[in-house]
Amino acid sequence: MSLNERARILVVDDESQIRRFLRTSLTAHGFQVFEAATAQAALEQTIVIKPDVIILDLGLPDRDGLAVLRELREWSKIPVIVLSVREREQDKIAALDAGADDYLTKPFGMGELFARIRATLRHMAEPLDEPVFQTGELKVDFARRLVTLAQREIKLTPTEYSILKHLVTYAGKVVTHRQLLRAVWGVQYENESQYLRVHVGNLRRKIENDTARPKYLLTEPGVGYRLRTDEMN
Amino acid sequence: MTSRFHIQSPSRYLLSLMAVGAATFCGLLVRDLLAPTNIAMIYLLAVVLSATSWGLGPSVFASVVAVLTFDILFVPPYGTLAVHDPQYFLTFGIFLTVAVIISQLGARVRAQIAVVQQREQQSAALYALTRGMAFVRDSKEILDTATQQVNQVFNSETLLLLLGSDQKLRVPADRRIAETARDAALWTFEHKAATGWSTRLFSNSEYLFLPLVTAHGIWGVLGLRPRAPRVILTPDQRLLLEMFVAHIAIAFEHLELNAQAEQARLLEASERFRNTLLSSISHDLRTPLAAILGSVTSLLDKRMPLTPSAQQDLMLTIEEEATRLNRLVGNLLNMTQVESGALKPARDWNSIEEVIGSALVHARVNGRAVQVTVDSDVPLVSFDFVLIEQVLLNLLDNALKFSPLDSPISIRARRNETGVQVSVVDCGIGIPANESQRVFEKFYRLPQNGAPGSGLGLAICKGIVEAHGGAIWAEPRAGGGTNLAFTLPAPELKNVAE
Repeated sequence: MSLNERARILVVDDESQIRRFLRTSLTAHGFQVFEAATAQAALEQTIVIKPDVIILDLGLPDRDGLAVLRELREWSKIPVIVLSVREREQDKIAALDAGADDYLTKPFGMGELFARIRATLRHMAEPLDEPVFQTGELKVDFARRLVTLAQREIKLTPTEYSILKHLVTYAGKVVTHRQLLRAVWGVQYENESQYLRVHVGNLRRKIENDTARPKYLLTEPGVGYRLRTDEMN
Repeated sequence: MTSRFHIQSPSRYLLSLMAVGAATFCGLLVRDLLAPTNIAMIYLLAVVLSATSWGLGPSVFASVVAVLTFDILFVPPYGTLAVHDPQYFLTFGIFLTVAVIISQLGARVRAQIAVVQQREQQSAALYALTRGMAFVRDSKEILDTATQQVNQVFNSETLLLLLGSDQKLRVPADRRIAETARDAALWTFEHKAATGWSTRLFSNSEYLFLPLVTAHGIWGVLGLRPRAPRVILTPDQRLLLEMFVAHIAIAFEHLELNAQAEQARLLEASERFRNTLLSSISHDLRTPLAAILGSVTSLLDKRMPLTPSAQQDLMLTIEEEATRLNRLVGNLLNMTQVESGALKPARDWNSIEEVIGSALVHARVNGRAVQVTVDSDVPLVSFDFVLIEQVLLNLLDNALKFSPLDSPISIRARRNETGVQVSVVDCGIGIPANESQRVFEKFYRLPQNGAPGSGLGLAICKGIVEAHGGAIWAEPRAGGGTNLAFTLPAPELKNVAE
């Protein structure tokens, strides 16, 4: 991938052993890695080095990572991937609501982290200008409003198309239930999660071969959904 | 007690006088028909009535009055005490003797009846109190039952002052107690002796205070204030009151001892949990750590070059063991939550099919065939997605561990009367019928199995399912293997419109 060549990544974590293995692995994959151990250092570094992606731990010694995230979002759109031992869904949702682009729970596999980094970088580079999106055998042609699976056209209801379109916009990234409800139904429906469950179920019946083992429309337990991209495989 | 035993003496004498008067009236009616000695018999009736109804004094009084009246009205010469025929003196003597003996016997019978009735009432009152106390569950209920019973039996206002957590007597804030009463109560509490009304100490207090004492100490003070003015407490009533107080004190003691026993039981259970947890941590955490450390040191050892495939093997071992370690830590955390009651499901409308799919992604199925069947009428159910996924992961883990590598596993979800039932079925070694309950106990592992595990997975499942109001059980599969099933109640099935 050419777009992440020499991309600058700021790793913010107070644990030196985590920084060490991230530095080693990320450098080996061609990224330029910078490090910060405190919230203060993280904000300063962000201004100085202007990273392409920030990897942020929530448990920092001087300030809570969520507060750092909120402050950062006041003046910057730099993608942030949160890395945390906090594994409760509420923590993930709080981080995503505070402006995180994605979330990974420690411990994690490097493959997962690379996929998240690539998804955020790609999203920054090309904010859905392409008229056609493809993942696996699923193809969405926005200009013609046409969805095909293995070259066979699939008829979607307006709601299903709207869900799919929103997920494609953030392909590879997690989209929370609330974000989807707001985008598809409107702000006043953001707690009507049963709407989403029913329509996602119907959408899966149309685009997945085995609805119990979805290939494209993935579930993020308790948090939301994620559309698989080819680079995630 | 009741008032009929306390007719004032003058009126009892008056009543016996009236009985003699009635006898006189009858005698006058038949004076011309009967001999005077027979008329004396009518007077005897009046004496018997007096003896049985009003006691010894009125009866003797009636006897004397009867003799005098008889002499004046029925013995010639009429109208005077004088007696012409001396044999009447014998009549008078015998009459008086008989009358006094009858008086004594009648009074004794009467007293015995009174004692029996009083005993009966006392035991009825005590029975009512002890029966009431048998069903109390907390000190509030003891308080209510005791107050009600005492008030009813003694026609009084009752005040129960109990021991506070600071081991001092607690005086309720909603009642205004006079200073003397307060002092009397405190004195009773400190010296474990009665004070106040009808005693010698603090006798100007309107309450009588009695200590609630048992062999193990003092539990409080009972204060009793009569509702009616100027009544006195008979020795019998006092005795009954003391029996009441003893029963109430024992009730408080029982409550306290039960609470202590429960506390000890809980403490012991949590102690046992901690010990098992510690031994589990030291054993189950060290095993994967040993594998990881061993693999890594082999990879790092430069004197012993490894073939690429051996290196790959070791690295896979590291990955597997680290994953296992992570799962174990997760299980221990979950178990601690279940154990401490901190498990609060974050419920939301969710799809069973979706949670099964998510569990399949995260389970280490390793290419095993897992067949999923979700009936089309299975509704959305309100549950915590992450917790139920954990249940499915643990059940799947169990099925994978205890069945042959080439045997199929199936997950089936269907609607039942109360909600949704999910079953995870394997064709493995099965669970003996007598173990089907115990497998859900924490740290329990089937005796014959050699598979690794902490014995926590199913206990966590049970905790999570029960926190959702559902049930979980294990049953043998027809043809060998196990069916692990759980239910999720769906009290109000939601219909969704476009």
